[in-house]
Amino acid sequence: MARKLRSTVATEVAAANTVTTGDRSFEVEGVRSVAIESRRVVTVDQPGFARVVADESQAETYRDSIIRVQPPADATEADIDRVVGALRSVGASVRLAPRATADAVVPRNAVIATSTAGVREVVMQMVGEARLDPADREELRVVIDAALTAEGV
Amino acid sequence: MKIIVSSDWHLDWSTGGVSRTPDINEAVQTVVQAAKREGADLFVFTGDLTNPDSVRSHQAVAIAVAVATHLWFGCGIATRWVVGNHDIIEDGSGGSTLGAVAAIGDTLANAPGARNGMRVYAGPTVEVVNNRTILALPFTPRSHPYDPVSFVESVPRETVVDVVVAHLNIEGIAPGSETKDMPRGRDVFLPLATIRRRWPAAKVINGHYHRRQLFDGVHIPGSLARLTFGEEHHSPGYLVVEV
Repeated sequence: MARKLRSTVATEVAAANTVTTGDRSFEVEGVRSVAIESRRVVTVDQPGFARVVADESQAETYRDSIIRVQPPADATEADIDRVVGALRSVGASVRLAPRATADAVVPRNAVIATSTAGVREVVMQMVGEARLDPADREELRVVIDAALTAEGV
Repeated sequence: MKIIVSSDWHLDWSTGGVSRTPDINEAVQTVVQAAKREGADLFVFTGDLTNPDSVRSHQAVAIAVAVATHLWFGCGIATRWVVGNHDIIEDGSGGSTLGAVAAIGDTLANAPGARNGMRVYAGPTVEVVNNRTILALPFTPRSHPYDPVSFVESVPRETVVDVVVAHLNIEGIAPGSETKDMPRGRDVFLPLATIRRRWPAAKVINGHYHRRQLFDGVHIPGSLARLTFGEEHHSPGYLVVEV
């Protein structure tokens, strides 16, 4: 059975005529739309995750909810265990999703786009651009320097 | 006539591994109590009771039968049930998960002196209830297709429809999780322009969409629970329709 697609304008006009509810009830032209209490279904990621890490009592706001926890990239295992435990202690059903993907250790734009740079220069610049703590970066620099020297670079 | 409308119960659903049957059933009972409190003349369910092949479909059917029989035999409130896209059984029979309710309704209709206390709209139907004309446009299986536009056009000219109850797609509406996370079946569109041309004063009610809203003049009761993580900001509820 054929159907006509609405024009973009008609769709926009229709959307402008939409009444959505938030949490409220409303009445239009003899039809009452009534809200009821309903179990919360929630994704806890930043900043909700950080709030519970800082203060476990914040988990109370999620009591009896169905929760998907998406830990931020820098969440530690201890933080994750603390948050999941706090949520379960208030009766929430918790499913743990993989943590958010962190940025690459060596960003793509750290590579020197020039044909004149040597291998050692390129590699050491990448070490300099790597997202590491200063102590880790220095340790990496020592290791890489030794490896390059061993290869005659 | 006062009609209570509820929709998209999906009583077999799970969210994050959690069975939703208990809390959706609790919401169903809330709406049943509302029907009694409001003194409703009619209770209408606009589709999607359960998937027929899920492990909890039997629980969903039992709840629907309990609601239909309690409202009619206990409270004198008739019920009407519109078949949705999740209810249909694609085995060529034209059956749906509302078959048990339909069987009780058929028995009532055939009993001497009895009125039709419950009825399932498995195909397009025009029915007069309490002197008000209802046009039902359910979702049907591929084995029993119909053209909603042609059906609406075929309604006799002298018939004035007061209420349209449907479970079809609506052009231009923002698709929600019923489309993205819970898709089932083909697209069949509500012939809104044709309905408006013939009966501009008719109240149009459509299930299928889980966000409770009024879209382009179509009243959408929405589902009775937040069924997926995409529905986190939904506000479940029901409709009270005065005709």
